[in-house]
Order: sequence, then C-alpha cells, then structure tokens
Amino acid sequence: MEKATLDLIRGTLDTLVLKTLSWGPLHGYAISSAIHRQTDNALLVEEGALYPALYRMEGRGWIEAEWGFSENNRRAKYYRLTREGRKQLQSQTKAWDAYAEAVGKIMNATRPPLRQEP
Amino acid sequence: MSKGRTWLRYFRFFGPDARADVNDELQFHIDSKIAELMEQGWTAERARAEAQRQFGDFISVRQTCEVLAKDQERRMRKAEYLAVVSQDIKFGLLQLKHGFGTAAFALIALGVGMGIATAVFSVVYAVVLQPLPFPSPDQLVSIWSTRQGVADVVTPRNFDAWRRDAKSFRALGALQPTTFALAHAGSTTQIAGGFSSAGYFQAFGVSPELGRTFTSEEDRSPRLHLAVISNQLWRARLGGDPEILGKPVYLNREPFTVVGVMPASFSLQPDDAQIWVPLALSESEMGWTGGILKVVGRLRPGVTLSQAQAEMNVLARNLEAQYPEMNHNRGIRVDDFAKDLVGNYRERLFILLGAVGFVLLIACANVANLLLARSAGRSQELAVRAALGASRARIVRQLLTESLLIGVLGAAIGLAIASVLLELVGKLGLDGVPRLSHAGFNLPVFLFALGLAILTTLFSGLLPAVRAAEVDIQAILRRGGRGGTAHDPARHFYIAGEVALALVLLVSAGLLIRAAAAAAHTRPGFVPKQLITGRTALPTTVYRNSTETVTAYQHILRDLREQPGVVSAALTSKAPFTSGTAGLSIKQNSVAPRMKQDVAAELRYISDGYLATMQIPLLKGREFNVHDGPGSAQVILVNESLAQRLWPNTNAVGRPIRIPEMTGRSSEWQVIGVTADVRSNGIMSEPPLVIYFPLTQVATNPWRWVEQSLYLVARTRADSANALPLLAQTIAKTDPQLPLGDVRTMEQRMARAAEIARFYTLVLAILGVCGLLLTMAGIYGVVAYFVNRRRADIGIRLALGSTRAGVLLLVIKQGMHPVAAGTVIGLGGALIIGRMLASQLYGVEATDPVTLAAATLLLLIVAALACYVPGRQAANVDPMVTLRDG
Repeated sequence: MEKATLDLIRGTLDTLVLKTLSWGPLHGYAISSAIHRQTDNALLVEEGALYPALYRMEGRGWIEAEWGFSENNRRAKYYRLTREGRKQLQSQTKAWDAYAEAVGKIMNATRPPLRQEP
Repeated sequence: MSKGRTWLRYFRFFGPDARADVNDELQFHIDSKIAELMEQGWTAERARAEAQRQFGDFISVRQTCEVLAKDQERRMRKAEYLAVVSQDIKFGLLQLKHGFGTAAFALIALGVGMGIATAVFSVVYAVVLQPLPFPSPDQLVSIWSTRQGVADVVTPRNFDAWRRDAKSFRALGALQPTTFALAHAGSTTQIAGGFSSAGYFQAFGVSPELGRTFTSEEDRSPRLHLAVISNQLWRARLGGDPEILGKPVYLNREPFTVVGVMPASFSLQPDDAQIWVPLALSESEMGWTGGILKVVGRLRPGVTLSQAQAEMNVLARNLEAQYPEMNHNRGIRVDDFAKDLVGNYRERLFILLGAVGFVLLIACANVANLLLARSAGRSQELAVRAALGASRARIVRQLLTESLLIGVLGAAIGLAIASVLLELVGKLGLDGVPRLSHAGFNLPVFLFALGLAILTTLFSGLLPAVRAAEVDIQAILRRGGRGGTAHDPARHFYIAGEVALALVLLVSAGLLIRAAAAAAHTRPGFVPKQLITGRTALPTTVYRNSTETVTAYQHILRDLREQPGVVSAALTSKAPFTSGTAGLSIKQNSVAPRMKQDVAAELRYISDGYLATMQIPLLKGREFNVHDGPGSAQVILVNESLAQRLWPNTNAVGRPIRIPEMTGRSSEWQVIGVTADVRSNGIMSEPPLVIYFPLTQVATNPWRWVEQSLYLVARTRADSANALPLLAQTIAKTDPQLPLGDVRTMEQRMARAAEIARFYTLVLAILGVCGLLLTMAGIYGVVAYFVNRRRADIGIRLALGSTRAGVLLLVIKQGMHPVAAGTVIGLGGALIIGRMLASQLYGVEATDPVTLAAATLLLLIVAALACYVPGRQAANVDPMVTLRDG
C-alpha cells in the first residue's frame, strides 16, 4: 500500500514535469520554480526527486536535453518535450482526470452507497 | 532564453563527460537558488546554507543521476554506431543497385570462385586435414617391408619378429586382407574382410561398439572360429540385430561366432574390410614368403616416428642376419598412417586447391579493377563528402563496407554453388578416395568460406578504397569529376597478375589433358572389348588341396566355355585393373647367369587359353595347353619386361629358373614362352614384371596365397554388359554356394580405374577455362574503361588526322602491354608448377613446349580479342560528337 502511494507520487511528479515542459524548454531549476509558482506554493518539488526523474525520463525518450545559456548567461541544461513525451503527457493527463473524478465522486458524495439486490 | 546546440557539449576537451555534466547541472540549480534568495534579501552565507538545506543530500542525488546518465550515454553511443553502420550498408546496397551490371558481374565472378574453392576445401578437409576418428591419430603408423626403397609385402615371419622385438610401439597388429563368402538369408555374397592379429584393433585404439575384439590367446594357432564385424555389415546385412553377439555367421560355409561389432567410424572407405577373423598364424603359414600383411602400429607416448624408424632399421639388419634367404636387402619403413592412407590424393587435392585459389585471385583482381573504375567515376561524390568533413578513414570505411557487401553476398552465392558441387561429387561415386563421403558442410568449411569473404573483400577492396580516399578534392571539384585516372598502374598490375595466373592454370590443365590423351592412346596390352570378368573363391574347408581345387576350376571353365554367347574363356588369379596381387622375389642365383640383384615379380595362375581369350600377344614360344598338368614338366611363361630383366638380350625360351616358394614336384621351372607386357595396374603405371604358372601345376600352399580364388574371364559374342549374368549361371552349375564378386566388363573396370584421373583433369580444365574467361572479361573491362575515359582525346586525334586503324592499334597496344608482362611471369610460374605436377603426368614432359606454346597462344588471342572489341568502338568514335559533348 505504501509503495503504491510512493509510485503515485513519483508518477505524479513525472506528469507535472511533462506538463510544465509542454510550455517550452526549461532548465531544472526553472521547472522546480514553475511548479512551485503554478501551485501557489502548495507543492514543493524536492530536488532529490526531480533530477533523477529528469534523467529517467530522458532515458525513456520522453524529454531531451540540450546545453544552452541561462538568463544570466550561465551554462545550463535545458529540457524539452519530445513527441513521445507529449503522447505520454496526454495519456497521463487522461488517467489523472479519471482518477481525480473517481476520487472526487466519493469525496463529494451526499448519499451512502446503494445496497445491491440479492 | 538563448537556445543551446548539442555540439556545445563537445566543447569539453576530452569529449562528453557524464559526471561533469551532472555536477554542472546540479551546481547551477543551487547557484540559482542562492541568487533567488539573495534577491529576497538573504545574506550570501545564509542563502548558501538554505539552498543546500533545501536541496538535501547533494552527493546521493548526484550519484543517482550519474548512473542514469552514463547508462543513457552508453545506449546513445551504441545507437549512433549502429546508425552509422546501417547507413553504410544501406548506402552500399544503393550503390550496388545503381551499378547493377557491375555488381552482378562481381557477384557472379566471386560467387563461382568461392563456390568452387569452398567445395574443394570441403573435400580437402574431409580427405586430408580432418583428423582420423581414432584416439591420438598422430601416434598411428603403418609399417612396410621395403626392397630397394620400394614397399614390399610383409611376410608372417617378419611380422612375428617385429611384434615380439620392437620396443617403440605400444601395440602392433597386422591385417591380411581377404574376401569371404558370406552366406546369409539364402544368398552368398563376397565381402571384403581380413585376418587380423590381436594387436590390430589395439593399435587403432578403437573400442568395439558391442562385445570385444580378439585377445592374444585367440591369436594363436589353431584358428578359432570367431568374428568381429563392421557396423555397416551389422546394420545392412544382419538387420542391426542387438542380440548378434554369440550368434554364428557363415563364412566360406563355416560358422564363425560373432564376438564384437566395431563402430561405424572404424571404416574409412566403402571398400574397407567388413569382417575380421583371428590371424592366428600357424607354423606352416609362418614359412610363407608370399601373402600380404598390412601392419599398423601405435607409437609409445614420447616416441617419435624417426626414433621408431631408427629402431626398425636395426631390427631389419638383425632379421637379415637371422633369415638371409628371406630378408636379403630388405628394409623396414615406418610411415604416418594418415599420410599413407591418403597417399597421392593429398598432392592432387592440394594442387586442385591451389588452382581454385588462382581462379579466385583472378576473380578478385577483376572485382578490384571494377571498384577502381567505379570509384574513379564516383570521385566527385567522394570529393564532396571529403569537402563536407568526412575523414579519410570514414570514406575508406564506407567503400570497404561496399566491398564487404560484395564479399558476403558472393560467399552466400558461393555456399549455394558449393552445396550443388558437393552433391555432384557425391553422385560420382569415386569410391577409391578415402573419406570422400565425409565431405560436406561443417564448422571448418564455414569458417573457410567466411575467411574467403573477408580475404576477397580486403584483396579486392582495400587498394581501390585507399586510392579513392586519397583524392585531391580541389582538383576533382574543379574538373567536374571528369578525366581522372584513365591510366592507373594499379589496373595494369592487376591485369598482369590475372594473365600470369590464367597462363599457369592453362598450362597445368593443358599438361593434364595431354597426359589423358596419351593415356587414351596407350594400349593396355590386351583387347578389352566384349570381355566379362568376375571373381570366385573356393573355400579351403571344402576344396582342401590343389587337386580338388584344380578339378573344380576345370569344371567351371568347361561350363563357361559351353555357355551360349561365349567365344572363348579362361581363368586367372588376377585380371588386369583389379587390386590385390600376389608377388614373389626371384633370387639372384635362381637363374643362370646369376643376376646382380633380386627381382620382384607378380604371380599369375592361369588356365590354358588365357592369352588367346585376352588377346595378349605371345612373342616367343608357346602358350599353356591342356597337356600341361600335374604330371608333366613344370613350365612357366614370363612377360617381355621380366624376360629382359632375367636374361638380357638373349632368348628366354627354354631357360630353367629355380623358384623355391612354388615348389611342386621340384623347385625347377622352365620358360616355354614370352608374352607381351600388360599394363594391368593401370594405364598410366608401367607394366609390372609378371610370371605366369599353369594353374594345374600350382601346389596347395601357393593356392592359399590367393585364397584359392580366380577370376573368370570370357570373351562374348554380343554386348558384354548384357552377358554378365553368364558368370553367375556358370558358377551355380558347379556349386551353387560358391560366391561370385567383382563382376564387371573389362571396359567398366578400365573406366573405373581412369575415373579419378579423368575427373581430376576435367576439374582442372574447367578451372583453366574459368580463369581464361575471367581474365578476358578483366582485360575487356579495363580497355573499355580506358576508351570511355579517353573518348575526347581520341576524338581530337581523329580530328587531327589519325587513321582509324591507328587508333585501333593504339588501344590494342595499350591493352596488351600488361598482358605481355603477365605472360612472361606466367611462363615462369608454369615451369615451376609443372615440376610439381610431374608426378601426375604420363607420356608428357612438364616442360612440354607444345603445351606451353598452345596455352600462351590461346591466352594472347583471347586477350587481343578482349582489346579489339573496345578498340573498334574507339576507332568508330565520331570526332565531331565527342568534341562537341566532351
């Protein structure tokens, strides 16, 4: 049970990163700041989880990396969504919506569940 | 944000570095955080501490990322490499498709070359190279008696002394080959077999598949009725009966108990012995000076062949002192068994392999020239590639990939051709070549084919590829890819090489063809037409002495003569072109005047009418007749060669000769006639020295030397092949249980004997023609290329007043230049190779001027023809057109 939860979280982080990158290429720090900002500071992305996730997704070919220059002209590694990553994002978004809807239905329920006819 | 570029990663001096990349990236993150915090008003020190706290365990994150990054780096590098290789292959295939004609020619030339080479190698491997299926085959030796360096029969007494006294051998055994009449399931057949001593099987070191072989106790007289049988006999004739041990088989009408079955691998040839009974030499058999023992030995570990030979040399002198009569001048020779078994096939097969190698080299040279021409045509493409930054190594690699494709595809075609060829060889039924049936596809053969593919690739592709990569980019780009290397010494070098190789092949094939022609015109010394032959043997158990044997044979001969369709008939202990010969040694003092040395002669026991039936000319004196019998004077015939040896330049008829081995009523015999020589051991072998005895006067003991067997020979009225059943019918009249074997017409026999030599000659002739055609194609290709390249030049010449004949001559001269060089080299090579061929030749010298001249002339004519065709094209060039377009 515990493991499922962790996986869910890791999976969620992947989805969040993909979604963030769908606006355009970003370096790791920018990704983490963007998620932080977009969730109104509700979600804090741990660097210990973010970078391994980035490398893993790069290995799977969902994102690709290029070295470029940051706003203050420092060498930084930029990640960009691949076509494969875009597909992954779509399917993960769909799965997340379905999940959230299902959880929401229960959480917002006003009646107890019906008993099944014998 | 400024967009990065991948190649920036390669700014790092030593190429991409995953570790440094990870560190840089994480450090950038922390620095950014610090900057952000400081913007919010934190002090530098506190901001750093806070950033590090937020990040957590920097080292462990870095490690995790490094592992992931390196893993990916590896995969990328692999993918990149594969992409380059597959790009090379794809591009190579495309190139092959573009120059389809060129590629098809190269593939056919290489495929045929490699196919023949692989097939021949497969045969060479099976016959010569493959180790014998015995443990430590290098310890296995065969041991012969020799007389004046010529291998001679081993007498039982000598063999017995060897096995008792020789210390070099762990085991020493002998086989006396014979044939048995095997009665099984109502029919009697003759099968090859042998009397073998206990040490025989031990020497081979092969354990029986079932049961056991003979013990030393069983190898003592009197002979026990025990038999060891071959796997083939067991399966084919006895139904593979698993309960065979202890059961009897009927050999020469007597039951022999089967004690063992040998494994299938023990038989090396189809005509090897199928059944063995104990040798168990008796005291009287020990006295024989005839008979044939084949002796094999297994060297003790650590003893070399030359050490064993040295010991046997000493033993030979001891034996000479002990039995001077038998062992005068007799030596002993120890030979490697495998080498002895393969005999002169070894030499022939290696010559064949060499010839195939020549054809393949010619094919390679052709392909190399094609590639040279093509890469010259592609010089612009290659120059563009080089200008765009492709390194020389990269271009060589691309071009080599293309020729490797040709090599591998050629090898695939070659394997297909080889399998067809091997099937054909199998169908020829060349029984005489040991282990030929083992020829097929196995790992060494595949490795050989693979090696060929790689070698041909390098040989044909390397020089053109390096050449192409050496291009002067600017010059080519400026010229627009035209002109270039019309006159390239490499091309001429290849052509000269091809011509030389082809000439050597042609001369070799020519010599062998001349030898075959000489053999075809050689008379065997008798008339083979409409002669039928077959061999029977009278078992000693039923026909116990000479009187009973002779009476039975006289019955058989009478019946044979009475058969309708038989013109005349006779009996002989050895028909021409059959194997196995009884011989004897005529001592110096057997004749007057005394000879300088002993003479080895072959024995024949013949009936009256033999010379007439065979139509062997009688040169002097008279033939045997019905009056020469056990009671009359002891008489013999000698052939011309023997008469010359025994009584040079005088009339042999009427001379007495003493032959102790053939003692009947006495050991004195009188020559009553001289016959012409017969080439009975093969048309290309010198006629043996022969002494004929009337079979009516042969004593019991000498009958045993030939196993009381005789050949029936009959000259028939009609086609001889249809008359063969006559022999079986005749035998059945006298004794239906008598065996009959080796039934053939004399013409079939001679064809069989010549078959291997003829096949060999045919193969070399085919190789010669292949080499010639390939060379012709090669010359044509180079000259045509020259003409094509120099079209504009030729146009100018014509416009300036050159005659068309002049242009034609120019082209031919250009083309024949390397041909002349190659011819000189080839003639030198042919003289060397001819000396190696000498032992295969008959009736023709290795330096035969007719063959050398004919081969050279043929080659020059073909070469000139190959130059003439493109030369005419050159002469027909329209100067206006070339000047306008060129």
